[in-house]
Amino acid sequence: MEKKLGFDLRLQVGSKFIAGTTSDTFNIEGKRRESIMKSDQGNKQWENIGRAITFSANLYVMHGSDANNMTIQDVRQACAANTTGYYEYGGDLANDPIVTGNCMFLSISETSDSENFATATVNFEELEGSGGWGTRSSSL
Amino acid sequence: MILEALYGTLNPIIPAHVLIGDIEAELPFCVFRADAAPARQKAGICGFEYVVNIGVIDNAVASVNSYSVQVIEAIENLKGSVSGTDIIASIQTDESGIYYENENNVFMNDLEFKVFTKNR
Repeated sequence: MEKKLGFDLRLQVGSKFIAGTTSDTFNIEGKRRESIMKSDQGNKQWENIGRAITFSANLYVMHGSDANNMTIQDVRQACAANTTGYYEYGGDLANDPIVTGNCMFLSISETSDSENFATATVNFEELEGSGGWGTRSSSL
Repeated sequence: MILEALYGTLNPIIPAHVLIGDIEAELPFCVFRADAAPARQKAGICGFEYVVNIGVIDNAVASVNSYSVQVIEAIENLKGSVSGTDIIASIQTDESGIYYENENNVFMNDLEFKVFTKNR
């Protein structure tokens, strides 16, 4: 086994990446249902009933466009409309494990000051029950 | 490259030298250096953020002040393709203020800028 470099893990939405991404945060939480039944002698029991996935991308606000990336304007509009799309998160190389599903653009928060490159944070949420676990079929 | 762009901008105002060690120069003059920090996105480097330090040196306060004003104006106006470097913007971020350096009997002003570029 070996450690994975951060820039080898990437978030892809639809057929495109998000231009200027510097870091991603990817959260998976199992959803639980709690029960207390007589048959369990009153002891709490938990049952997994699915997963909740939220993720975000931090990025430079980039100008211009290219065929492989969503522009900042694309992302702004997607957040405003809560656009949904297929996503993949995981390694760049063939056979790397990836998480897939459909996600919704939730929000974008842009930061621009007088001394630095402008940055933004985009938040997403997986549509419940839409995804799965897989491996990347070919290297990016 | 950025050092050529800076030299070409500074030298018409005041004789300029890249700061690489002890310098013997006639007054007035300025020394400068540029430290690069790549702006790295996951897909690779998308630009550079240079911290540029310029020391303006002469034997009179008024002269150092006058050169400083000219240097600040020139660097802040650096934009576009200059000596092969594609400059996005240049901003002043710090200034020591004019001070007396008694070992060499000169007045100095240390200026600091950020220069944002698309390439080296």
